[in-house]
Amino acid sequence: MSAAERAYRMLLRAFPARFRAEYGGEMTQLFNDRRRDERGRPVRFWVAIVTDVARSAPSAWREAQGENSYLRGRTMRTMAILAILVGTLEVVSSAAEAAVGGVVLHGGYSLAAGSVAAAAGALLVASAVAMLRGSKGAVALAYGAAIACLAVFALVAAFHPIFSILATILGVGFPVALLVFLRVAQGRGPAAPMAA
Amino acid sequence: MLKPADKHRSPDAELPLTPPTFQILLTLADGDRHGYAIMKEVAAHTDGEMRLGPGTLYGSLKRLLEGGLVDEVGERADPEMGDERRRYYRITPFGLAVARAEAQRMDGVVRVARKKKLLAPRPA
Repeated sequence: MSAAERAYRMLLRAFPARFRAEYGGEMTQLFNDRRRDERGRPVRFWVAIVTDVARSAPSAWREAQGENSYLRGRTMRTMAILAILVGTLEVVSSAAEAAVGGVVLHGGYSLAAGSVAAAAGALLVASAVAMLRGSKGAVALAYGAAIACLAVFALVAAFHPIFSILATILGVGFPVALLVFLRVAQGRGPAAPMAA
Repeated sequence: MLKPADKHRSPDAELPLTPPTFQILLTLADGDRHGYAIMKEVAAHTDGEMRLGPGTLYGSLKRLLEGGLVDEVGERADPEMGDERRRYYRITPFGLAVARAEAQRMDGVVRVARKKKLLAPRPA
């Protein structure tokens, strides 16, 4: 391997690893072809090569981030579907608690706690639907829904547990998972659009 | 033949193409080429003004492959270039439709430019 090829392989490190693995061999082949064509004009050749790397590596990184964003989008959809399932379960179990404990047994606390928890579950479902539709403000709504669910189920569990263990675990655990997911997804930032 | 998924895609939705992307499609329009052949032909088409570097060429090819405008058609040696094996690329029917749409778009732009006297009238 020539010193020039070694130097070019060093430059290739400016590209994402996946891009290098896919096209690094062909790029090195093309580099050697061009070097052969432009023998006798080393300065012009190296200026062109360095300029090419400086121009194309940033877009390769942007596209690699775009691929990550696609995966993030799929995870977001999975979380939204889970939120619909958990939210629906919370609405049903809380409504049942409100009906049985509040209406049948005349327990004011059960009626109030069940109604508030059912509303929090409904808010979770609404935020998940907004996430699936990609609506504006969906993430803010999801934050609000997760915090509301967490607060209601944690407070009820702490002061006067009326929900089943499963409903409490889901009512507390899922909002925590959703908050962590939203925080991580936002921390990565939006992806750059892919150009043709 | 367009692939079933391509029937629902409009070539116009891919426009406008970047100059390297359009040049690569033009080069592949009449046959399969490997990277070096594409680079040389683009340089020839543009009187040496566009010399695609490896990063630009393979970055564009990656996007064209992902967009279904170009396919890989295996590796083989180029008889004119020795024994070294090279990966060949082929334009897809959808890629051809996109190249055609871009050429028509550019033709429209040129017609307006002529009308506004930014270009010399077409010779008779």
